[in-house]
Order: sequence, then structure tokens, then C-alpha cells
Amino acid sequence: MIIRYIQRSVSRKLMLVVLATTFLALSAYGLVMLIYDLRTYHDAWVKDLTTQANIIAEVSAPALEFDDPQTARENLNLLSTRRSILQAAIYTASGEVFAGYSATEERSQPLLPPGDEIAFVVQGDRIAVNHPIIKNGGSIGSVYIQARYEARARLTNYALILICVMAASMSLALLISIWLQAALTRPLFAVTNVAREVMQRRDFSLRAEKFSEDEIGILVDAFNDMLSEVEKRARALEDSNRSLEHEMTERQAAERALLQADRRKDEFLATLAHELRNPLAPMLNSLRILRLAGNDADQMRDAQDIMERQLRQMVRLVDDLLDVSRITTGKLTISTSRVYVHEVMRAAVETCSAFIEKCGHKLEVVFPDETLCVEGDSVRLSQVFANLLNNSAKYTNAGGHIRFVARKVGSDVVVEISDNGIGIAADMLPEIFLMFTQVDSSLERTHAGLGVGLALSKRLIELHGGTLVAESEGIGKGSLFRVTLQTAECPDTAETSGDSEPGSSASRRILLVDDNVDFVSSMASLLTLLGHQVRTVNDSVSALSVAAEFAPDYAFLDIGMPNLNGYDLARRLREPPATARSVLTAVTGWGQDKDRELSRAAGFDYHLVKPVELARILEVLEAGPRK
Amino acid sequence: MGAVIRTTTRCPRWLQWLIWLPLLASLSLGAMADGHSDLERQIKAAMLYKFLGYVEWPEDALTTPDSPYVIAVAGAADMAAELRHITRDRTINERPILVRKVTSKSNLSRVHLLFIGDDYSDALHARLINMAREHSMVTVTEIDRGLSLGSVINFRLINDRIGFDISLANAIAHKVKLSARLLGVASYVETVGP
Repeated sequence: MIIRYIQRSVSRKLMLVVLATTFLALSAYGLVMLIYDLRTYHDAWVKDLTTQANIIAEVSAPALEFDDPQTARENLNLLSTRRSILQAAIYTASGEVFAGYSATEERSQPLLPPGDEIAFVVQGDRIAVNHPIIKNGGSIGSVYIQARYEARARLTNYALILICVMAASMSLALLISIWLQAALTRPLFAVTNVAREVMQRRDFSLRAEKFSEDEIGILVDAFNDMLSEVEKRARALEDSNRSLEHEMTERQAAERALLQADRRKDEFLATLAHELRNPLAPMLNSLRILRLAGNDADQMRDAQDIMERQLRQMVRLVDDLLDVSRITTGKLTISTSRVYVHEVMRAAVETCSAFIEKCGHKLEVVFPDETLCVEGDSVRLSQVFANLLNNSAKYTNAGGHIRFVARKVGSDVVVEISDNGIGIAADMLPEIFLMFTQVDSSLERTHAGLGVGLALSKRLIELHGGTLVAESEGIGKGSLFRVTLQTAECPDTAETSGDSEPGSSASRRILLVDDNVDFVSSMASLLTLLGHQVRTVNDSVSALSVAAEFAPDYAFLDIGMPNLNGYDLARRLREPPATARSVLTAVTGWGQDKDRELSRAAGFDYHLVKPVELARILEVLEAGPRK
Repeated sequence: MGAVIRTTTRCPRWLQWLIWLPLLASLSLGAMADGHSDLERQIKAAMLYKFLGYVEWPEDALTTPDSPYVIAVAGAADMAAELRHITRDRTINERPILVRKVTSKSNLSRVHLLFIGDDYSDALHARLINMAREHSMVTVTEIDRGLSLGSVINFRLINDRIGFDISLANAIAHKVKLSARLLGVASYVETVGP
């Protein structure tokens, strides 16, 4: 238990070391000194007694010679001054007692027989010496002295002294060990305490105080360095943990978003199937009417109107779909030019007025006070505004009020489309611009749509460098969409594009080359109806011979054709004089800048992106021949 | 040291001696009447021999390192024979010992110790002692008046024991020095002065 008590503390061990060292050193010293002292004591006694015996022998020689035991006794009596001498005797040469002396009354047997040699013996606490009395070279007797041998008393005294010295030394050693504890273990304890605190509080910013430059000082330095290292690493670990947590949160959010997007896509697909299927029934019905009606002109016109309306709806849907796919694949582009804001607005109103009137809404249009222009794609901008107007019309109950207002704010033009419709819940506001989001997701809703209009509009406005935001005070409070675009300087002379009627243009020779037979033949029919001469070719190789013979003013060439692609065909057409001056137009599904660049390099004058509408072709025709 | 103690402790013994004087006188007279026993002669002869070891002579008394001690015996016919017997093959201070018989007419030069037997008269004692004074030698007598007759050492019978008295004044007169250790064992020492 004592050993466990000592093992638990360095200071106790130190104390033990000091005390044990002192004790052992003193014990060893004491033992050696005791042996030395006893030997010295013994030698001194023997020498002393021998001397005494010698003196007695010398003095007593005449007494023995002249047979005077009285004098010999008196001589022996002189020994009474020495208390420790107990007995003495002078023997004659024949061994008889000549004179005797005793300090006490008792007399005991001599420890040594009388003899001619100097002899001594120690027996218990008695020492005895025999010394011959020499006269004229011969022994005439001997002196015997017996004394108290006080080795034991001396031993006791010595032990007493040793104990006193040891007690004093141990006290001193204790003091030294206490001092050592203060000087040596205090810095050690400081380190130990800091270490304990670090372990308990997990606080690695603690540091041990340095008291000295010795080994403990080095230990303190090393300990502090180690703490710094641990602190650094712990912090790095915490940081990485935090960033991991952050990443995890982001990943979870992304996962949720992905799931939501997936769900929206599923909903979108359902909606899409529904929307695409819807027009087919009236169209089939109209087709049957056309077959059965015979020559009933009214019924035929009604059927044609229905078919056209439904077909336009489908075209619009498919256009939207194409735009969506362009957005998701990053292929949505705009061709910019200076456009007048009021013209774009007017185009949008024209597109939507029929639908708005059908819904019974009142449309209030406020054009900007001055003529404003923006850098942009007029078709796309009017598409955006039409989308927004459509949206307002759709989500406003019959007989609503729609405002379409444009004004200049600073260097920006702000176009607002507001209504007093069903409004948007505050929590839906951030989501309405997401792809495939519809406020009313039930299939039984009143108004058709794929839920891509707002997302598309926002993306288009962003491509123009502008912003599109929605505001609503809540459900039933109506909603407001605000488009902000940077104004641009207007061109000096206002061009009057689109004013001329398609039918007014002169008859042209037009060559259509596309492996899509239906597209080519339907377009050819339309152009023929408009008074143009049209030739169609479905493969690029025969297109070369036809072109050489026909010498078209305009040629519309599909790019993606087997054997000879559109680019190579264009290069070949530029060679013969019959087609060198023809206006060549590329018709392709690819509309990015590099595609346009490729077309231009191959000798094309125009680049149209599929699906190509009649209006686009007419624009090319109206632009006139190649300069 | 021993001598000093001895002189102080001598006094009672001296007084004792005075008390016992009549008895001693009768005893010694008785002894004389019977003649000396052999034992007494032997003891006295041994003591004479031993005296040589406690006496210091002037330098001219012993000329060479190995010159012998000479003991002269006057009277006491058996004493000389006894002495010769004792001192045969013995030395004192590595000197041999010679024993001579002398008379009152003998030459006493080169003698170191002179013993006068009690068969000599007082007059002869005085005569011999006077002769001895001219040399340096120790004179030893065995009569009660020995010291007053000028002898240095005088044997005496004390309690059946043979002791001796010493006269330091006579020693000075005889030009010899006696060892203090000898004085220590003497029964009585006659000191110089008052």
C-alpha cells in the first residue's frame, strides 16, 4: 500500500530517493566507523594495559628480586586510579602469586596463566594482559592485569550517537527533498496539470508555463509544440467535418431537387401526352367532315378552321418542346438586332388578342411615350410578351382586366403585364419560373399548357441581358410580371419590315432540297399557291443536275442529307454559272453560332433553324436577290 | 616517585620496628648463638649478587666494558662459597662477577662490594669500612649497628624475613650511587641532612 502511495507521485519518489540515499550512506559510514572504532578501542586498550603492565613490571622488579610483596602490593595499588582495572597480580617466576590487587572485594580466576610472553585475551566484557618481569635478561616473574572491556557500552554510545546523527541527517534530507520538490517537481506538476486539463476540457489552446531551461524546460517546450500540432490538426479536422456536413446538406438538397425535377418531368410527360392528344380528336372529326361534306362550303370552311386552330396549337406545343430541349441542352440562342419596343408589343398583342377576347378579358395596352429600342431578337421578345399575356389571360377569371404597359426607367425599358386574376401564393412565387411548374397541376384545369412558358420566357429575357420578375400580393389579388431590358439607340430610318404583303412579291424560281418528302411537298404546294415556280428534290446528288437545268433564284437546302451533305452541295452549286448567283439558304436543326459560321463558309446566304415556317421563307424571298 | 611515597609510608613501619625492637634483638641474638642457617646464607648471597644491579660506581671503578664486578667477603666463611655458587655463569650488565675473601689487612682496591660478616667485631667493621672509604664500593653488614659504623647497606631480620636498611649518607661517603628502585624495597632509608 505504501509502495502504491509512493508510486503515484514523483515528489514522493524523490523524497524516498533522498531519504534512502542518506540512510544507506549514513548506515554504511556508521558501520565502517563502528568497526574502525571498536578495533581502535581494542588496540588502544591492549596497548594501554600492556603499558600499565610494563610500568608495574619495571617498578616491581626490585620488590620481586628482594622478596618485598608489600612494596609490590603498593605498586599494584597505584592502579586504583584506573577505575576500569578490576584485578591485577604479580607472579613469581614459579607462577605463584607474589602480590595481588582487586578493585572490588571479589576475586575471580585469572583469564591468562602467568607466562614469559606478553599476552592478552578478551573474554566477554573483560580484557586481560600478561607481561613478564625481565631482569638481567631473564624472566623473574610476570604482571597480570584484568580490566573491564567496555566495548558494549561503547557500542551503545556509538549507536546512540549514530541514531542522533541519522535523525538530524534525515531531517535535513527531508528539508532538501521538500526544496527539491519545489524546485524540481513544481514545473513538472505544472505540465501534468495542463495535460490533465487538456484531457478533461479538450482545449488544445492551453499551454504549460516554462520555469527553467533544464530537461524539464525542454519537456515543456516539446509538450507545448505537441499541443500546437494537435490543435492545428484538430482544427483542420473540424473544418473538414464542417465542410463535409455542408456538402452533405447541399447534396441532400440537390437530391431533393433532383427528385422534385424528376417528379415534375413525370407530370410534364403526362401533361404533354394529354395536350398532344387533345387536338387530334377534333382534327380527325374535321377530316371526316371534309370527306363527307362533299360540296357544302360552310361546313368545309368550319372544318378547315378547326383543323388549322388545332394544328397551330400543336405546332405551338411542339415549338415550346423544342425550345425546352434547347434550353436543357444549352442550344437556345437568339439573333440580335435593333428592335422597336412598340413593334414587339404590337406583335405580341396581335398574337394574343384573339385568345384574350375569347376569354372575355379587357386588355389595356400602354406604349412608351417615346420611341424605344432594345438590342434583341424581335421574334423571341414578342414570344415572351405573348407568353406572359397568354399566361395572364389563362389565370384570370372571365371578364378580367389585363394591363400591358411599357415605360422608360433610367436607361432601362420596363414592360409590365398585370392582371386581376387568381394571383400567386407567396410560397409559389420562386417556383413559377422553374421548368414544368404549373400552379394548378390537376389535369382537369381549364387551360392547356405544358408549364414551360414562364421558364422559357425567363431564360430568353436572361439571354437578352434583362430580368423577368413576378409579383403578387397573394391568392385572388392578381399578379404582375415585370420585364426589364437595357435600351439601345434606335436606327435613324425606321425599316418597314413585314409591311409588304407576301402575295405582292414577284414570281421566283425556288428549289427545295430535303429528304423529308412531306415537308418539301407541303411547302412546295404553299409556294406554288403564292405564285412561285417550285422544284423539289429529295436527294442532294440529283439536286445538282436539277439546279443546273432549273437555275433557281432561291435554293433551300437541307444540311443533314445522305451521300452529299448540304455544305458540300452549296459549294458545288456555287461553281456553275447557273447557280452561282442563287440565294442559298441552309435549313438545319442546329442553330448555334458555329453552325451559322459553317453555313456562311460553305457559301450560304441564310441560315434557318428547323422547324421552318412559311413566314421565315417569305422573309428570305422578300430580302431580294443576292447582291 | 616510589621513593617519595616510600619515605612517607616508612614512618609507621619504622615505629613498628621500634616497638618490635626488643623481640628482634632477642631473635637475632638467638640466631647468632645458633650460627647462621644455610637458607639465610643463600638468601643473603642472592641479595648481595642482586645489589650489583642497583648500584652505580664512578667511571674509574670499572675500566673496561667487560671488567668484572668484584665482591669481597670478609668473615662469614660459608658466604664466599655460597656467592661463588650463585654467581657462576651469571652476569650483571654483561659483566662477570668475581668473589674474593678478604681480611682487615687485605688490599681493597678494585673491589665493588664488600660484605662483612657478623663474626667480625665492631672494631674490625670500623677498620674495614674506613679502608673501603678510600675506594668507591658498597659496604654491606649484618649487625644492628651496621649503619652507624658507616656501612651503606645493613641486613636485618624482620618478621622472619630478611630485609635491609640503607644509609644514603654513607653511600655518598663511599662514592657510590644507589638506585631509587633499590631504596623502594629497603626497609629503612637513612637520608642525608636533618
